[in-house]
Amino acid sequence: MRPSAPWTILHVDLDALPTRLEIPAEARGVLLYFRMQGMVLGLTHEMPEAFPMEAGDLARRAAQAIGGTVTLLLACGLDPVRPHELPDLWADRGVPAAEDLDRLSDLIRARRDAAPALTASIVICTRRRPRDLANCLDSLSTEIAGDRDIVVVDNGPDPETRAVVEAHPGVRYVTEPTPGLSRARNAGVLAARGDVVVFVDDDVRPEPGWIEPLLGAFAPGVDVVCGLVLPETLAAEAQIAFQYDLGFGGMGQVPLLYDRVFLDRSPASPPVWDIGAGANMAVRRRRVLELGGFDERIGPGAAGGCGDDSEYWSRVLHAGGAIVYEPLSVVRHRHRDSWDDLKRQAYGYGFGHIVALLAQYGRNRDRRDLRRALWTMPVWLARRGLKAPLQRLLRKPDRLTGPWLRGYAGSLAYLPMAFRPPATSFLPPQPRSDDE
Amino acid sequence: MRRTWTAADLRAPWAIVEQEMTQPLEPLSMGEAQGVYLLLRHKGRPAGRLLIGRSAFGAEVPPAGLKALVQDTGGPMATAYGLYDHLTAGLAPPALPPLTIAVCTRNRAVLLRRTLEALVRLRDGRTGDAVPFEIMVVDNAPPDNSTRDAVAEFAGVRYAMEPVPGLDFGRNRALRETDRPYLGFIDDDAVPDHGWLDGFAESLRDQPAAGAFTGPVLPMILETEAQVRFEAAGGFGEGIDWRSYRRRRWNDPFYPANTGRLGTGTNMIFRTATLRDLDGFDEALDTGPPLPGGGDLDIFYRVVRSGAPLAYSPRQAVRHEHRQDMPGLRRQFRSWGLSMGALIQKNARHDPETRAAHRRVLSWLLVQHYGRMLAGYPLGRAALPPGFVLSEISGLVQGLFGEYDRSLARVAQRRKDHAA
Repeated sequence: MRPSAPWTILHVDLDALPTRLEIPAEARGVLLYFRMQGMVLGLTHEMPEAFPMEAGDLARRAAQAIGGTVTLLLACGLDPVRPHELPDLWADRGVPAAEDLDRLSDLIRARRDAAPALTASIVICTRRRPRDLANCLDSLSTEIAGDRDIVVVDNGPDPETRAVVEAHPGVRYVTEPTPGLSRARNAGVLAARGDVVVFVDDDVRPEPGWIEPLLGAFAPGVDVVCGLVLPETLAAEAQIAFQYDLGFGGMGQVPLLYDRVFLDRSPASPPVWDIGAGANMAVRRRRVLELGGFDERIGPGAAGGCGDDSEYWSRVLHAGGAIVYEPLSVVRHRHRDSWDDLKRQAYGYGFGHIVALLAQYGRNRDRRDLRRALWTMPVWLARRGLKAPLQRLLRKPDRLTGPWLRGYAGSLAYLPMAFRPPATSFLPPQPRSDDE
Repeated sequence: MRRTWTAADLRAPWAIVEQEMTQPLEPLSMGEAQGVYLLLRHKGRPAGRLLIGRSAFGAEVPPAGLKALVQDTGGPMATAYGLYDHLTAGLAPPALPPLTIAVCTRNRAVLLRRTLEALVRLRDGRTGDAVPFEIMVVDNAPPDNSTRDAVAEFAGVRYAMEPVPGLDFGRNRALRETDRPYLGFIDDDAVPDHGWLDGFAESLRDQPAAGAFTGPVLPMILETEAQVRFEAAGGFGEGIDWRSYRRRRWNDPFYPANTGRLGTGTNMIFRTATLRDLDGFDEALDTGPPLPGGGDLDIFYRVVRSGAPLAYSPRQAVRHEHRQDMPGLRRQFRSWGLSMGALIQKNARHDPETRAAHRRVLSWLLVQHYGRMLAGYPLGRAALPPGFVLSEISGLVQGLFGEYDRSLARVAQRRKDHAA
């Protein structure tokens, strides 16, 4: 039983604990993120009764919330770890001493301050959300002032969006009239000039300094880097459900490395969708061109929902590339605040996930993907569907199973995608690039 | 997690060994003991406990065999202590406020002496307090002078007498007698751990608004089978970590009906004003048979429901000598069932908002908790014979069916008798 909306989100800087932490009077739930040098080390949920909270009380909660992460981060020295190596790392751990926190702080700062060797372009794909886009561009003022190559791909396109872009000199405006996030991403990749394309969704506000950790994580062989996505607000019931029931809250605090081993070790379909979120993702531009771009048959605007990002990750892994999850890079996502939007999103997730799996099977012929699409997911959904009446009786209605089931049913229309050979590339033929 | 003892180990005696987490792990040598209760500490503060049975590990346990267990058990809290020390380095150091520690006792002068010795040593060993804490013994309906004489042996220990028999009459006597802003209680069968008051002072600095302060109750000795079995069954059951309880709790459908986890009467310190606002302890509880318990859980419950936080710190620990004989332990379990039943009835009546939580606790107890304990016995996984569970259930039933009201009537009569 979580408290009802609105919740308030507070970011607590562990290097300078407030002597007293206050919350707005209307908050019915509190989510605390404990951060050091900007890095999220842990979080805790509190009832409003716990506030105002004294520094010592805060320290107790923080110490209990961050202990495991601090131990792991010290053990790996902030270098990405393969997920299956985490238990070994945990077994070899020591008990961190008080001064280790200083060491960790230095480590984070060093990583954050390292000058990236690669150049970056920021690509914002948007469609008929000029207000969101304006907010997003406002939060990028440092990047704009720093002459970063920024491209807005208008997937609408409409004059309002164009006007917003023109209000931000230095930002390039590109249109992609055919709807589809994958299409827009491809247009952005083609227009971009940097070694790395950093995608920012229009409903996302990057935190200052989010881009350097993304670039810094591009070690040789790494083709994609994903970062952490935090909720901007949890003021509406639908936003809380989006964060907790739609599986947006599961991103970890430890940097992870996904490569061939991840594909080989997974008994079921390798959970590429858990790697990160397209809302905070950077890709090596040359590699996108080599791999034929984002699959324009799937994703929002085309088939619908999601999967444009995770299908590309799956392709990268199958092609021998590596993906890094770098939680040091943080953006804040504005979750939809209406139930209708949330249900649409659940429908889209149910739909897009299956379509992505079918497309993956069509490309890689990995039976595990097909099995998940045609057996694991329907069984899981059927279980949820059967439980739904009971939940209604217990007054805990499951409002998302309906849209999910409908999404699944809709996705089956795309079954032929699994058995038809895919296009070799969604991009126009490229002159051989000679960067790197 | 791996089981660290089997039913064959639950015989007396067990040894209690302390291991400092910042020091290398010592090998364990059990000698005559059937097992070792390993108390893990981090810079003196309790960080975890492990029950190491002889049959599971052998009489000699090299450090290598324990390393992972110790890490898993004490590691999280040791880490948290280290981080807490770092994060609070810039804060004002905790200060002990003027405080009375009351020991309510009746006719147990031998035990009382041990508690008083420990309290006096703690008091005289402390430096830097603005006022040394006051030690008060409340002699409850004394049949003779033995308690008064025992108190006279110690310098600076105050004696108070409460003529009406009943532990909560005694506690309320302490509340009337004290003139200090904080009032603590420790039982005559317990002694404070060396960091008891440091833990309290730290909790007070961190949660100055708290109305109650408590912590774990750790075993003092494990010399009899009853003591070993009690500890193997989970002891007093509160965890070794920081907790803070208030009117409501995040994601806990049983709260606040699961009062058993809040704390124990042998380790509790209150803001005196909070106690006075709540009219003190409920004298209809802890009356001795037929309702010998519940006053501690009741006051914790009322403190958190009044809106004052309850601060639980593992550093504020006491060491308790558990019941020595199996029949006595069995009566204890029955008494816990009784007080739980009586409190469920009382709270559901006075605090209707929590009725659903009380119902959930009751069904959890009957279906899952007792069911699992009874089912575990034939599998050799239960520390206590089924008779104990049945005793607790019978107590619970009796408590649920009007025991609180009957006790109210008995106590009213008791007051009348003494007024006359």
